[in-house]
Amino acid sequence: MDVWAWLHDKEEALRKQGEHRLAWLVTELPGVMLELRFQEFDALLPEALALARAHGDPWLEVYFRHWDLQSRVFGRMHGERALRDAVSLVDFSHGPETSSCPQSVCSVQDLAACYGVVDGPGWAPERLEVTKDTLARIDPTWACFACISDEHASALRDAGRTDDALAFIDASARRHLTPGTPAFERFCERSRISLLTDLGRYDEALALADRLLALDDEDESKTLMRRTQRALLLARMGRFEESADGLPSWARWHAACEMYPMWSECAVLLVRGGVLANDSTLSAIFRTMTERLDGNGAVRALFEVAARQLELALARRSAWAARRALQSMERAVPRLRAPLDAPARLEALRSALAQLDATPPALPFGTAEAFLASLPQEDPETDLPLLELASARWPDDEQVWLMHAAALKGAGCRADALALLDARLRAGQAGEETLNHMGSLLLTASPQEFEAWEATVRAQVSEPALRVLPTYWRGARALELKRWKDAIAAFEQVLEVRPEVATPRRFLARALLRSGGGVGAAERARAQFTALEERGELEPRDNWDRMTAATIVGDWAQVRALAAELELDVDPGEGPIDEAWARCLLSVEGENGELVELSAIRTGPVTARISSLNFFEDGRSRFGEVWVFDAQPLNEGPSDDADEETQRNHRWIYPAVFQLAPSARRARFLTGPEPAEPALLGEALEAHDVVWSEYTADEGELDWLLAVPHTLDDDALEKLVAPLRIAGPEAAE
Amino acid sequence: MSEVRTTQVDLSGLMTVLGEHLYSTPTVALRELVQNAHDAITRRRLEAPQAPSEPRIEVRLDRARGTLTVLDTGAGLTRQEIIDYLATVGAGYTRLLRQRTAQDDLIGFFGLGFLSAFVVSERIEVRTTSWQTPGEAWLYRSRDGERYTLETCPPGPIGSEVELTLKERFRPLLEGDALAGLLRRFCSLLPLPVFLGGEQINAEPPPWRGTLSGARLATARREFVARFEHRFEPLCIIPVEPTEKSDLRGLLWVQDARTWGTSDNRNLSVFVRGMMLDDDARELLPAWAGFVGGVVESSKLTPTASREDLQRDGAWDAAHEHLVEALVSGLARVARDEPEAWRRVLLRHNEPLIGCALSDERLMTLLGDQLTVPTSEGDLPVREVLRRSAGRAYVSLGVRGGFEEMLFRALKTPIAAGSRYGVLSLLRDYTARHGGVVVELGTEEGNRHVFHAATVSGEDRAFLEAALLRPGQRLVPARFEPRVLPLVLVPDRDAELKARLESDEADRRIGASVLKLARLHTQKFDAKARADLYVNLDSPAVEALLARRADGVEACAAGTRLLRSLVALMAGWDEGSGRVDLTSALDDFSATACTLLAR
Repeated sequence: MDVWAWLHDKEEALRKQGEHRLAWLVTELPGVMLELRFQEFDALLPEALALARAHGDPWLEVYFRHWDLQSRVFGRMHGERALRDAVSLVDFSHGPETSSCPQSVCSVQDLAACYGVVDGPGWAPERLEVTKDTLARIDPTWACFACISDEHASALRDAGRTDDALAFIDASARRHLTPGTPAFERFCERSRISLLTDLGRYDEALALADRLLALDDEDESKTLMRRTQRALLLARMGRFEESADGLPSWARWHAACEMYPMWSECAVLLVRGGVLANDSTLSAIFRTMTERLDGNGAVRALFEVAARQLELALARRSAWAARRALQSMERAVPRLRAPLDAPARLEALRSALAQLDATPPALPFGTAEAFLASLPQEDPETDLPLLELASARWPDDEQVWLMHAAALKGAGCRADALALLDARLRAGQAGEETLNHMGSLLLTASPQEFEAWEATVRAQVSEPALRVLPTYWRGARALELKRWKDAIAAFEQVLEVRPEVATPRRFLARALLRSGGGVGAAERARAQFTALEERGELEPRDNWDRMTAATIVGDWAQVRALAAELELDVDPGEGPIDEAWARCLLSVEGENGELVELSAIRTGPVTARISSLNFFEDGRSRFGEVWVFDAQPLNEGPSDDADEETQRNHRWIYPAVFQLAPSARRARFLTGPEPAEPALLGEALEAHDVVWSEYTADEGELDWLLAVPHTLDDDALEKLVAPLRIAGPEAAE
Repeated sequence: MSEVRTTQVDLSGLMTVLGEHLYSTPTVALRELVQNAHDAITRRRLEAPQAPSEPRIEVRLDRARGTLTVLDTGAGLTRQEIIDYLATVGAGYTRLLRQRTAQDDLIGFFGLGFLSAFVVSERIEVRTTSWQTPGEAWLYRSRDGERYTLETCPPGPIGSEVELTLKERFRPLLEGDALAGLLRRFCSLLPLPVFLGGEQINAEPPPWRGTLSGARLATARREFVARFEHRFEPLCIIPVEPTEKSDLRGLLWVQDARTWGTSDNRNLSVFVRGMMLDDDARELLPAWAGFVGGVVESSKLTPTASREDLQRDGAWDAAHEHLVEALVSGLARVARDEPEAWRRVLLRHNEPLIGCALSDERLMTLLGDQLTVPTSEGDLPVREVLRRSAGRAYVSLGVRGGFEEMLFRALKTPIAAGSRYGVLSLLRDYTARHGGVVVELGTEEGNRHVFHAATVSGEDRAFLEAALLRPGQRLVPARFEPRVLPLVLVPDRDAELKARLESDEADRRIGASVLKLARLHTQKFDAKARADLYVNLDSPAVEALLARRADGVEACAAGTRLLRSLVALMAGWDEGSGRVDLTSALDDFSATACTLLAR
């Protein structure tokens, strides 16, 4: 069955049924995948699946799930990681409702390819069997004929039957295509180029790659693969400069794991050829590649790429990076179905590394202190071998292991840094700095990971002053998510044990001010500042928070005193400060907790009155509300190179924390044909203290937003505008 | 002197190609003529720098005669040049000159430009006086571009005058303001003055070439944008400045029309060497920028043969990357310097901005806290979703939610709509950066977050199993909210898959070789049970049940029957699972009710 014809009919039918979005997804998703826009693909897929299910169309579900596997198994090399889904799709696509779906056959290919990604040579016999069976059931008129043939050729290649594979591709192509035509050359092109390369027929392979590239197909994934294959070919031919010029940039295509095996091989050749630097940048790229392949369960590729990573690390004499590569290879070998020569190669590289380790770099320092002072701290990978030595030499020195952890984090190995510190924690050696370092590494970790750390500290640490540190970090995590109540509870607990420490106290005060807890919370915050003051630990910026607290409780004398300390120009006197300062924006909460920024005029150091017309639920207006705000703005200042106008127009955005005065108005709309004399209407409204603004200005239409004082009810407003022959007020929604 | 000559190439068929493909719109012809005029003036400046001339291009329309005339004060053509260049396809003088002088100011390239005018004309006359032979002038006349006559005429000022007599069907072009608007756009970046009806139509240089600043620059930018953006109002304008790698300059803007996840309203006009080449170069903008319009100019981009599109070469790649950078840094600047405009951008384009944030890490940093996701409690910022559910973002992936979803709805915990554009990806990315965890309801991993594992003694377990379990179920002691809910039955999808694939029925529907591969995977699954029964140890009902352990299972029969029927009724919502027998559950329920009522 012709899958494209089916798809075309399906799309048309969906559009006729009004399912435009689903129709759009049917045509768009494969394109997104072929352009390697994986993020977008993942963003669209759940919607496609949900719509297909809601539409009750299992064929479409097969279709979308197949393309998901295409994007994951082929584009991103998900091996072990995608097996369950591939198996499940084979089951689903061979059910009573789906078995005649033209894409059911594709699920077979997805599963075979998935095993091929796990370990191509290891699963070659099964892949050959599956693809042979499938090819026996279809003919070249099927759209999947090319894909299954390619899978078969790839399995033959993995089985070491290079000549057979090339002959198979040729014979299959000749069944329905004319040699020399672009269609013929496109058929199984990736395998064909690889096979020609394997056979050392470089000139033929290069000519083919060039012809294919000249076709200028718009399919990004094909173009990328062609360019990578071509670069690898040139590198193998010793044409290093040309290869380096043509090798696709890592930065742009790093998500397409399918190019990692070729890209890494090419990179090694280019390093050997002297046109690519074997430096920490390249090392980081290899680390990313192996981490992803490991996580994806692309085991054979992991082994091969890690072996190259190890070779490069040895060449740079970086024992640290080499060891990491070795660990990746060790993780791969037991997961290979057919280890083949992998264990022997692993052994050989292990001894090469041992030789490097036998001549460790010198550590000519008498003390840990002197060593740390001399550490360059420019490239973590350079520092790490030295830090490993230093850790062995001064195993009990907290500063050494802290620096070691920092370097690991710098090299992108956060988990290793944590593991290193965790070992000290479990050995009962963790002091305050170590625990704090761990806390900072766990600031954005998952709740489970954080809770596990808390449990370890409870089990390992007995000293109360240290046992409470995870609670401090629990508070910091709550601050990060603006969970003020959790933060307050945590910092209060910390202060019970460590009343002498300033930071949790300051954080507690800030959380109290932001918590929406009103006067009571502000009084508690003031108590914290008083405690800080008594200990002589106030910082200049605390004065702003103290003004916020004092304003909330109405202690205007203190607000004035603090303003004077900060050299703010506030009118002397007593009672509330209500001046006209600069314009700003207040960030207030809307009905759903969303933050809305409203124009306001500052009335004092930490207060502002909302000055823009607006409408909220049930016709509520917030015009005229007065708020106390947190003086730490949410935005940055204008850039240094901003022109004068931008500088002048810049407005700070402050988070509103406490409402001093509610609005005395409600929001209403006036809509309809414009009256003959709009000026009269404006005057009438102004006379009744209605604030208004033209909302939209369609020609001949009136669309005004009003802030109506509560003293003027809707009937009165109606009477006011009726003589001007416009429709009555509408409650803003 | 007059002679009849034939163009040095077979034009039969070429005109059709030009008309239908190469030059897809007749307006291109006008653009080409203005371009030729521009090149003629540049050429005169290069070849005769001393000669006095006031550079000027003039377009005249004569509605009565149906003519359109383009005059220039350029180099003019000698007789031989007319034969060599004007009437020879592919031998445009411009190309020759650019090769000789490496001059970037020349626009034309392929020598096809002039021929394109025949697509729209029934007759063309060219009067030209070359600076090289100021004493003689030539009149070229042709109806089809193939055969033409060449004769002398009285010499005029140095330069050329090309008069097209438009074909009948193109005459409406001369009516109204259409042509003027078109010319205004085509020529707005041309450095030479272009006149239409005596008025210079490109007097204002593009704002990035001028010396304006402050409010006047802002106004100039808005006015310039208005010439190009007809469908939308710009919410904010982002300048594009040249970089080391790309000479692109111009303006981008964010449109005001509300967009959805995959809306694509991108539009980009590209000028090459001052002349508009492509008014729909949207591909040059990143795919995520579906709400962005722009005008840019470059001298490095290469036109394709059709002169309406750009070649995808290294310069194109560099320009693309340049625009990505300009947008990312420009949006950050708007967020910082124009908060009100920024707020409108967020309101109008929340969904596509999710796509932007996912595509570029810097945008994720900028936008992560401001984007909202649709949830069961309304559109909420991600941070708010996490705040309301203690750092866990619950996500529903189905159209009809499962049981857990109903539970959370009842608890007023927001559940994000994971099937909407980008929601799941955004939540994952956000929690990876800021902490928290994404809980996909109805998945095994999700259940681990919903039901907190707990332990019971061996005796309690045995008692609960005897009292509550049905065949194929596994007991999982747990604690979860709300306490009033005693039991939840959740299917084990792996076990179900394994059972299906290992049944004899699978052999009939799936090929042997692929089934073998599939079974190699499922054989690893533990499939002793088909479903997990989570027993809530915090539930008063379960506590009461455990308190009667000593009395034995039989003594609690009425209570356990009720509990089991509750499980069955709730699990029954999961359509088509076949795991529970609703009829017997209802029987149990009503029998227990009768027993209780009879007491």
